[in-house]
Amino acid sequence: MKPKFKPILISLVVVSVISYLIYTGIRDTMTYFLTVSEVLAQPSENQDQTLRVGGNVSPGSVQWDPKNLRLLFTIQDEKASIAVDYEGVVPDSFKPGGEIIVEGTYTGDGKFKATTIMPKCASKYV
Amino acid sequence: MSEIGLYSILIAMFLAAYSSFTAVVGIKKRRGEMIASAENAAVAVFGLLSLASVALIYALVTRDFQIEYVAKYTSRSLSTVYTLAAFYAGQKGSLLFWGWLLSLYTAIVIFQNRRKNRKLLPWVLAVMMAIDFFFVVLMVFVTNPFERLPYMPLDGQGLNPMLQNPGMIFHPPTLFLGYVGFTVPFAFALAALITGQLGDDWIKTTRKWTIISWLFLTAGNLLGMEWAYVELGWGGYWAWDPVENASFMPWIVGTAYLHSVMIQEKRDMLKVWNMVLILLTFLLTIFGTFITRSGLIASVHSFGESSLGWMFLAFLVVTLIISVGLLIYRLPDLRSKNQLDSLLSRESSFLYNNLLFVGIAFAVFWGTLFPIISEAARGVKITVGPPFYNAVITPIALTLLFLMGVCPLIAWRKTTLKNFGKKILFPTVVSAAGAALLYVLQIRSLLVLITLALCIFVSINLFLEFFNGMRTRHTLLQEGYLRALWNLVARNKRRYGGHIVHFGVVLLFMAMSGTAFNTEKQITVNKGESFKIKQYLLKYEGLSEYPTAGKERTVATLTVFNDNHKVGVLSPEKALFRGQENPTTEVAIHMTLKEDLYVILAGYGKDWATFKVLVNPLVVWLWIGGGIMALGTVIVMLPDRRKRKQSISKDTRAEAI
Repeated sequence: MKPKFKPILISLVVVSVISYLIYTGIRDTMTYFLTVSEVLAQPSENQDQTLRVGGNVSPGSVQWDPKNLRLLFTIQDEKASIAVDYEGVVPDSFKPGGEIIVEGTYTGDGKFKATTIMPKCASKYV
Repeated sequence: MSEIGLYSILIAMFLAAYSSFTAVVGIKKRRGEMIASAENAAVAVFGLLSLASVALIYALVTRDFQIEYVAKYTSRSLSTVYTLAAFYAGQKGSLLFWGWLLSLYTAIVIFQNRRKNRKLLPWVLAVMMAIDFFFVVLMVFVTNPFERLPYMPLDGQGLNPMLQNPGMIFHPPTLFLGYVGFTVPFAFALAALITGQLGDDWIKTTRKWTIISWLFLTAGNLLGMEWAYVELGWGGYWAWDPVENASFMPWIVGTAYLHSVMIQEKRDMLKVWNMVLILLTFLLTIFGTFITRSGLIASVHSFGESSLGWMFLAFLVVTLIISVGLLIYRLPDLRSKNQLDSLLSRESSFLYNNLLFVGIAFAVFWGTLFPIISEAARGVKITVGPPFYNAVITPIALTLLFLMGVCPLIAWRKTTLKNFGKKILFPTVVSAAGAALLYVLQIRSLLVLITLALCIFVSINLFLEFFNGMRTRHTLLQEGYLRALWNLVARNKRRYGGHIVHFGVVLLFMAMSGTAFNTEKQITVNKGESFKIKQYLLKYEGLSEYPTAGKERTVATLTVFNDNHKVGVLSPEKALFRGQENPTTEVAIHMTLKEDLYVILAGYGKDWATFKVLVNPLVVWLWIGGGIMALGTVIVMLPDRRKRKQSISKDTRAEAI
């Protein structure tokens, strides 16, 4: 029985280590994915948290300063809206009215400082 | 012409069902002519789907905009190459492409097995045709590529500009060739389970299919990375997006399978495990298709949410139940006679590498599905991004890299610790010295030092494999060194081809370690002004406009100096394709073996322009490493010279350690 037992033991160790890595990996890097209304529903809890927020870019809200690569816009869902402040290269697929996911920090008072913006491109590729 | 396509897929649907059904009845009733009829029907399915493909391509090329698919993915100004690529650019076309490839593979399998595997073949045929039936049913009832619009549009909507890149010509077909290819070993595995012919016949027969599919999947993923790198314009090549994960998971499990089948061939072990891996690889290709087409998981690539995804889920569940059911039914017959003799043996090292490969696949699976899992379990959506994958996968991947170096040092069955210690000493000392040297050269990231030390470690062991084998041949058989090296590889293609693939992998690791030193800068300059990033000096010369038939290009010109030597001109641009609202950014890259200088035109005005500039070290080694992996894989697949094999392999086994 002994020779059969050892590989199982080692496998168990490998599996446990990997499970532990996954567990701590999720614990340390997880980001809540919320809608605009959900962010505003619990402003104090979400304050200064790293979040992902999904919504639509409000048409007419976009201000683009190409010299400083600063983009200001609001994202909204049916009920609420948040002002987003982003600095960086704007992805080609960004457009007013389009769906977008922003990642960054909720700084309170309906304001969001985004580090990444991920417009859902109207990609026609399957 | 489009009617021909429509009727072709309709008839193909009936014939695929007929072929699958008749093959099963034929083998149950032992009626050879029924099996022959099933084979003919399968070949006819291939003919019909070829015809349908030609019909769709004809419609695309002749701009038959009344066909909805043509109107949606092409326009009058679209160039011929991308018009042809539009065949698989959309959901409907890509399904036809998939179904057609599968029918082509089925026809090849039938041809290859005219005189062998006659017990397995009807079941293989039944499985493959049942899968193809599923795809054709989708085409007929859900997403018909030949669907007509009630009116004739004047022009089509055109192909998404991001897809108008050479990547579009190579990446999707390569990936599809790999994806669909894994159906063949899967079908053979199921046939083996059904018939109870559980020896390694099915593995040997499908060995080349597996390797070719793996090669295409590898190439497809790398081409996708290259495409993302040059087209998406964020400076990276991999973002752990669900869509990327969808093609990464079958690749990594397929890689595990490639390794573990060797244990079954050599030692008749791990039979259940191999079954699980190949079933899993196929299921993951379907799973990948499901998550990318259901819109279930938020992805940067929007994949047009559709009911199609759920049909793939249903298909996935049915296939899963059948696979698991058969596996459990045959479990007693899959018991292996042999056991692991030692924890320090070639077999065990393969077992560990398999656990690690599957571990990576599981981590990616869990990370990809976590938003859904957390929502179901706790009512909140939690996402994980690149930091999660980096934290989990880096240590596992580095352990794999280590195993890759250690494996050639360990003999089959058993190695003594003393013997192993003797062999590992030299490479360890050299790689430690290498790491120390890199430290002196100002490379201070621990992770990078470990990675590069392991790269050196593996490279030395691979080099010694070639070197020792060559020297032994030289001494024993009196061959010249080059001749000896040639013969060594030519007569052990699997082994040394594998080593070459591994060396390509080492280069991939090296390239990826370069990301730790990426530098970036964002700057606005006036015409005539210069700016520096690292040792590069870039002078902004101005903007030019180039209106062409298909698009309006705005091109910035920068003269690039490297340590005061002019090295060239970079022209990043923004192009506005006709019929599109948003401009498309085209980056400019100055590529060297040491690093890429990557320039994005982020914004511009009358006399000024804003650039994002990155210096990405070692990126080119990804493409070189990929090329070497492909070369090694091809060597593995080259046919053996049968006659002399026996005697030679005997003495090489004795000599090559």
